Amino acid sequence: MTALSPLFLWLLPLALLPVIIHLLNRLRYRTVKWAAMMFLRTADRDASRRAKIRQWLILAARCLMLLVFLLALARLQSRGGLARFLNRDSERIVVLFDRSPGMEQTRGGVSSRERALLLVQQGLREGRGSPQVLWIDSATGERTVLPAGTDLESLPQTRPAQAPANVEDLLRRALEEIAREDDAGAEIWIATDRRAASWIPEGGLSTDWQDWADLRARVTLRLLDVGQIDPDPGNRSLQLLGDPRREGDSLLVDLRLNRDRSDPESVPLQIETGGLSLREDILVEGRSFQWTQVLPIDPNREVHHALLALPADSNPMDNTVAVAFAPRAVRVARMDLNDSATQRAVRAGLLPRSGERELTDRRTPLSSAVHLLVREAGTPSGEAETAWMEQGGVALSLPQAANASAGFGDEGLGVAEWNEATGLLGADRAREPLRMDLLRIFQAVPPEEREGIEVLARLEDGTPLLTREAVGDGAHYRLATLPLPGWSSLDAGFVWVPILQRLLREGGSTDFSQGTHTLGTWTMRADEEWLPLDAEDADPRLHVGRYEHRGRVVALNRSTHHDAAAQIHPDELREWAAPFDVNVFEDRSADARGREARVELTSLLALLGLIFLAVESYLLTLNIRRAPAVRSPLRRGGAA
Amino acid sequence: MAARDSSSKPLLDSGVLSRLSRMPLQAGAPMLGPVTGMHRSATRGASVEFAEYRKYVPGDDIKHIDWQVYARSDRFYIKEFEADTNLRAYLVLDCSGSMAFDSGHGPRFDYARTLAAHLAYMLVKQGDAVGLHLCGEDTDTDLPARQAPSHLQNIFHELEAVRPRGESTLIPALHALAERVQRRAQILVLSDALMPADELLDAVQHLCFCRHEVTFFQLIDPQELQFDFTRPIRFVDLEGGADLVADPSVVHASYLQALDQHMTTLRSGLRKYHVDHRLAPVDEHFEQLLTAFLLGHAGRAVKGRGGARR
Repeated sequence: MTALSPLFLWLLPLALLPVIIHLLNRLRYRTVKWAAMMFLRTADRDASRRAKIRQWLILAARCLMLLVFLLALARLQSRGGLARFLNRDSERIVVLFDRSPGMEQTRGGVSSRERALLLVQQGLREGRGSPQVLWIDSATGERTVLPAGTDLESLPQTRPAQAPANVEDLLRRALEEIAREDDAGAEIWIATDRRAASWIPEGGLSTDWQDWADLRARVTLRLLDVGQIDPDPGNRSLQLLGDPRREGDSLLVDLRLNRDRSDPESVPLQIETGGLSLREDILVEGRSFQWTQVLPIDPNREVHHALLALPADSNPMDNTVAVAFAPRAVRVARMDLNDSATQRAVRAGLLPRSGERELTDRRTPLSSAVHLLVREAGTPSGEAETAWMEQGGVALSLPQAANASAGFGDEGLGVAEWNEATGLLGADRAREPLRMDLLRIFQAVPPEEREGIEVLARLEDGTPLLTREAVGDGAHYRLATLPLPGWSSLDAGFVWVPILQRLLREGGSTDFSQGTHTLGTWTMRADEEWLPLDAEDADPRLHVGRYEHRGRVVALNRSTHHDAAAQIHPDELREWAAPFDVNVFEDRSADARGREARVELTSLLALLGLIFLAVESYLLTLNIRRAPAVRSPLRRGGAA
Repeated sequence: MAARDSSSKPLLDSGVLSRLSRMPLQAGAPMLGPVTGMHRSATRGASVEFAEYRKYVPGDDIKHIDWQVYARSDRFYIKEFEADTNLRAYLVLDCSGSMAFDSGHGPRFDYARTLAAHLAYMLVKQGDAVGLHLCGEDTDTDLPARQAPSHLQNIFHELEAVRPRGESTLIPALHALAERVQRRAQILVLSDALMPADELLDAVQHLCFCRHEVTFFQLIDPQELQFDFTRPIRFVDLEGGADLVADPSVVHASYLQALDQHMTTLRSGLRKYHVDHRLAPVDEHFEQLLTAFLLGHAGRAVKGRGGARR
């Protein structure tokens, strides 16, 4: 057996506390001068054996109660047979398999992914019954039903990938699956290395597990934990910092190399660019080394790309960076507005700039070349508009200027609620908040509120100011007021301009024209074509590399946020997963093979503690048969 | 007549004595005494109270012939009358360490001492002779039965001076008393009876066998009867035995059982020997005890007169 909180094992001697208190009480007895010693000696000699045994049983029950309580605090784990005994039958096991780059880190020559795979195999082998196994991997998010006896190692969904893991998203998919199938009992196994970045996205958690609390009684979460991230020595990782930039005949790429040693060393960097294969030795100092790599380019070409790689080490999945540079694509916004004042306000907010941002009108058809549509509320969205949004386009509906209402007076209303941290109204990259608090709204035509529409901001009277409706890959925003005098103070620009710029950026986020993107931040549609330019079997969902997409070269890289080695503690996991309980299967063995499933005994120990408490209570209230009272009544002064 | 105990509380309560003055302490059985007293005598003598008829034998005093009976029966019968004589009483006071027990109602020995003093006073006042025997490890006081008032002072002095301690010597003292006191006497024993019942009953039987009238005042403390302790206690033997640490919750039932068995044995044994067994709880005033005792003895004396046999 092992203990997850071994510190409490040092407190086990406290289980003797009842005995110590009992002995101390005996030492603190008071003294009484007594005459009827003959009866007392007889009683002490003949003292009911049962009564003495009862006293010792009460003490024993108290000691055992304390003992199991301390063992429960120590979070004792059992292995083997007992673990198997405690594993209950389930209809379904949903395996959430982490195949992110960090899982390729080796320890003792075995990667965390391989350890996780063995844990899953062991758990399936040792489990009872024949539950259906549903596999959801972290890279694709696809659900795969595994037939019994499937060789997991041969499964493509178990192979390493460079896309990040998002456990929150995976768990939500699993719960949706269980709820949809209405399973009576299911287990969710999360096979991961507890890398914090996989559990807590950059923008924070967005799911409240309390919404799934009704599944708590029939779902068991099991963490198949591969243990501490204690990598084999010699690992290096390569990160791309920002977008590449062109200077004359060179492409400048900012890179960072992280390693587990700090002494200077020369690290060879392999560079594939423009059909050339180059090697450059980088003299690295310290654990984290940043430099700007200069890549030679053909000055006559506009599009440039390269693949940079470090030699293979204990984790080959974090050694490669892909770079693509192309003239910045123009972001296009189309105005479908009749009011000229509103048109001017939109133009002022978008700040059209040649080569970066353009503003067009109804004459430009809605296609992937248009990223933002500013339209009038009240006009129905046609099929083309809806299809365009589903492809990733973003629409912003503004009230018609002619629909002016009575208004809120000269003072107007302020904005009462909005998300200051993230989203359209959140702080910018410099963490400067959007000054929604300074806005005054004098007139508004509140957009509708219904299921599927998220309210991003409300006025002081509770009516929505700005809503968002997700439409496929795109979105439809609805604003209740206009950036015009008499309507609001949006025309001051400190809120209006950022909103429009962000909407334009959002609309263009699915357009891979900027060159480099991060794996896992978008969903590839089935009809999309991606041609790998590096390895033939490279998958744009899974692998770092260069791809040709829509006639452009796109470089896909892994998320550097997920390179961080910080792990989430199992106690934090429990808080993360509340109200669901998380059982931890922990692998502490150096050898990944021959591992046994373990299960926490906290519940069993708690039950034992309750049993001992019940026994003690029963013994305390046990009606000891008392000797009959002195039969002859005490006749005061009279004859006996 | 003043008498004080060592705690400066007077031994005698004049109020009690006054209230009990009209209730003489009468012997239940006929007594043998040299002086004419208020108690029945075992012999027939001159008295105003008719006892029985018997046939005339030559030599009887003819003034006692009942001529009316002769007229009716033509036979000579002599009237016999009760002969009253004085009582000889011995107060036997247990001075063992257990008599010093005090649960808050005052030492048991003070109660016994007060009771003994009042009994002695009443007996002397009604012309009876009183003796005192103090039984203790350190004391062997034995005052013979006398009826002089000055003798009463001696009794009070001894009662004041004695201190209860050590093991009980009551049983051998009772045996010795039985042998020493030749003529029938009233033996008033004041003790807590915290000794083996069988041995005590043997001693009492010895006294009864010697035709003494025994009254046993058993002084008992309510705490000894209830044993209402809750926490473990170190019990120190007042008679110098080994201490004992006991958990009352464990021994309570067995203690009461042992106490009950002892009381039952004692009670039934004393009843068998026609001993007047008086339970004296120390939390109650001794006047109640004395009143009940005197009334009880008066009743027994009347019964005895009605059916006395030689």
